[in-house]
Amino acid sequence: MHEKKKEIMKILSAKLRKILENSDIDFERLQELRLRMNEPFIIRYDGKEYFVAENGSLTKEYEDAYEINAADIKETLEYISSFSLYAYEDEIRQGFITVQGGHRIGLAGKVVLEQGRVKSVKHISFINIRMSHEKKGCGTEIMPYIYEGNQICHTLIISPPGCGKTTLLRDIVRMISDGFKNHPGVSVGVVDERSEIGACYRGIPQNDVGIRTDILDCCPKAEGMLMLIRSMSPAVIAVDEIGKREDIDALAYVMNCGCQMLATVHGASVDDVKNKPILRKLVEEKLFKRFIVLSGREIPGTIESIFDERGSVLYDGKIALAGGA
Amino acid sequence: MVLICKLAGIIFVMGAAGYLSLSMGQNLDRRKCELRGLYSIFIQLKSQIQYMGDTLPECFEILSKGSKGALSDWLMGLTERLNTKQDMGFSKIWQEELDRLYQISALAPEDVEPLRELGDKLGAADIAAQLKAIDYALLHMERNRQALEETMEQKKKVIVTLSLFGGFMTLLILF
Repeated sequence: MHEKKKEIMKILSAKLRKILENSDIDFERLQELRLRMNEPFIIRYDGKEYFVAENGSLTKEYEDAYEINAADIKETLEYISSFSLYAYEDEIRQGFITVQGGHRIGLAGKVVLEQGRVKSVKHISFINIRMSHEKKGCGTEIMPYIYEGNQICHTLIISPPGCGKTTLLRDIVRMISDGFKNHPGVSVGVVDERSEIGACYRGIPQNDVGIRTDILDCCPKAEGMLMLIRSMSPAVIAVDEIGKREDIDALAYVMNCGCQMLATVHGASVDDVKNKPILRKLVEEKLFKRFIVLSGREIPGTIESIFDERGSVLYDGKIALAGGA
Repeated sequence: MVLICKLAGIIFVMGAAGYLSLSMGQNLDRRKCELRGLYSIFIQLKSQIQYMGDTLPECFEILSKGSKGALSDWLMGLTERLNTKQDMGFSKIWQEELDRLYQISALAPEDVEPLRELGDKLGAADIAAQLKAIDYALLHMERNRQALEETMEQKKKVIVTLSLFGGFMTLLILF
C-alpha cells in the first residue's frame, strides 16, 4: 500500500477506512479530510471539496454523503493518540497533533479553561486531518539571493497565510543544511513551535530538513532561539511566524551572537510589516538583509519580489515555487 | 499378587492426593505472586502516565519487559493489539485481554474484576481521573492480597487435609 495511504488509514475508524478503501482516490492528491460529528464526511481533493458517500464515491450532493457519527470520532481519536489522549495534553491545548508522516490533525470541541487560559479540549467533535505535502526544491530559485558571497544573509519571508512561507522556509533550511551548489552545508537550528517545519513525530522529523539540522519541537520561539544558541551552536537559526515582542528581542540577540536568521512573518508586503508596531523594528533597524515577499496571486507560493535591507529590489517578477506551495 | 496390587493402589491414590494438594498449594502461591506483580505493574503504570507521558502501548511494552510469566505475556499481547490499531476501541481490547489474563494466570475472578472499570478510564485526556481509577483498582488489589495472605496458610492446611482425607476415603471404599 502507498506509504501516505497507510499512514492515513492507520488513524481512521474502521468504517471510514472501509469507505476510503472502496474509493479510488489518489492519496497524493488528497489534501484534507474533515470529520464533524453528525455531519457529512468531507474531503478536499485536488483543490476541490467533495462529500464522500458510503460506497466510497466522491459526490457534490450533501444527501448522498456518509454521516460521521460519535463512534467514528471516538475511534479515530483513539488511533490518532495511540489510545492515550493524556500523552498529547500539550498538543491538544494548542489544538493539533502531528502524527507519523507529518500529517497534522486539528481538533476542536469544548475548551476547558483554567484561570482564563486554555487547559484542555474535551468532547472533541471536530477533526481536521491535513495531509503533509513536502515540496522539495521549491526554494532552489531563490537560494542565490540568500547568499552574499559565502555568507548567508539574515532573511525574512513575508507572506499572507496559506501562500507557502513555511514550505519555502523548510526547503531553504534543507538546502542550507545539506549544502547548496558550491556552498558547503552548515548547522541549522530550527525552533518549530507549531511542529510545522519538521513535523516531528516522537522527536523525529517527518519532513526532510537536512542532515545538519537540529530541531526544538513545540518550543516557544523566543526561549527556543536562546536555548539553541546555548546548546547547539548553530550557524543559522530558523523560526516560523514571528510576531511577539519577545520574539523580536530574541531574534536581535541571536543576530548579535553571530548567527544568521531565517524567519517568516505574516504580511502582504514590506510596507505591511512596517505598519505593524512590533515588527516595524525589523525593517527600520535593518535587522534583515533580505526580504522575500510571497503571494498566492496565481498559485500559492508565487514570489512577488526580493528586497535587500536598503529597499533595493533584487528581484521583481513572479517565480512559481517548483511544484507549487 | 493381590497384596502387591493393593499396595500399588494405595501408593497411587495417596500419591495423587498428595500431588493434588501440592498443586493447589502452588496455585495459591502463584496467585499471591501474580497479585503482587499486578500491583507493582499498576503502580509503575501510574507513574509512567503521570510523569513520563508515555502512550499506553509504550507503557505496556516497558512494563512487559520488567514482568515475568503470565503477566509479561499478557502485557506483550496487549501491546501488540494496541499497536495494530485494528478496528477496535481500547475498552473492548481491554476487556478481552483481561479475559485472557484470567485464563493464563492463577488470578481469581475477584482479582481481575476491579481492573475492568479501567477500560473506560485509561487513555482519556483527564490524567487525574485516570490516576484515581488506578488508585481504586490498586486498593482492591491490595485488599485481595491481604485477604489471601491472611487465609493462605489456613487454606493450604485445609487443602492438604482434604486431599489426604479424600485419599483415605477412596482407599476405604476401594479396599
